[in-house]
Amino acid sequence: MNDDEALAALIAEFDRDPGLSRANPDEIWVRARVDEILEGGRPALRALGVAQLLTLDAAVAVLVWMLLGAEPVVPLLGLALPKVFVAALAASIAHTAATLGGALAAAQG
Amino acid sequence: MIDRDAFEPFYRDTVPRLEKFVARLAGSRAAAEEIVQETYYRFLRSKFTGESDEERRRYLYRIALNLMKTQWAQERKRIELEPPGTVEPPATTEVSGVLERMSTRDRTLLWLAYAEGYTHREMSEVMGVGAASIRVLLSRARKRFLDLMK
Repeated sequence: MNDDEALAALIAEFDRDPGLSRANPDEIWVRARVDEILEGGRPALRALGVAQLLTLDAAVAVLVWMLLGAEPVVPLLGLALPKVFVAALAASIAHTAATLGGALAAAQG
Repeated sequence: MIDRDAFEPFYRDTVPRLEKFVARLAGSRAAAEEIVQETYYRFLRSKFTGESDEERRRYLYRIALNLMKTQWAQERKRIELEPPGTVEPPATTEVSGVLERMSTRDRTLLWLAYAEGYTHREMSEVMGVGAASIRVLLSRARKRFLDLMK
C-alpha cells in the first residue's frame, strides 16, 4: 500500500460511524440551565439561612429576657447569673440546635 | 450561554464528527458516549464567547480532549494498581488496528489534520501546543502511521 492509499484508508476509517447512542440535546440544555440556576442561587440561599439564624437568635434572647422579669440576676444551677448571660445562653443553645437541625436535614437530602 | 433554539442545530451539526473523534480515543463505547454528552454539558456551562460555529466546534474539541486526558490519567492509575497481564494489541494492517497501536496524541493529530482539515494554528488551539511544534509532531505522527501501514 502506497502513502496515498494509506492516507485514503485513514480518512475512510475516520469517516466510519461508531454507532454511539446519542443524548437528546434538549435534555442536555435543560440540565445545564437547571444546574446554572441552582448554583447561581446558592449564595443567596446561604445568605438567607444566615439571616434566619440571626433572627432566631435575637428572638430567643428577647423572649428569654422578657420571661425572666425585672430581676437583673437569675438563680440557676446554684449560681446567681446575670439576666443578659442567661438570655445569651438560651440564644446560643437555639443557634446550635438550629444549625445541627439544618445540617441533619441537608445530610438527609 | 448559547440559547436553546441555537443549540439544537449546533448539536445536530457537530455531534456526528465529535462522536467519531471521541470513539477513536476514549477506549470504550460507554466512555465515549459519556464524554460526548459531558462535552456538550461543559460547553453549555462555560463562559465561551466565540461567535462562529467553527470557533465553537474547536472549543468542543478542546473540552472533549481535556475530558479524555482526565479519563486517561484515571485509567493509568487503575492499571498501575492491577497486576501485570495486559498484552499489546496484535499487529495488523487494518487501519483501526494501526490507529490503536499509535499514541492518543498521534491519533488526535491525525484526526484534526485529516478528518477536520485544520490548519496548524487551529490544531495548536485545540491541543494547547505551539503551532511550530504541531508541524513537527504531525509530520512524525504521519510517518509513524505510514510506516505501520506498510
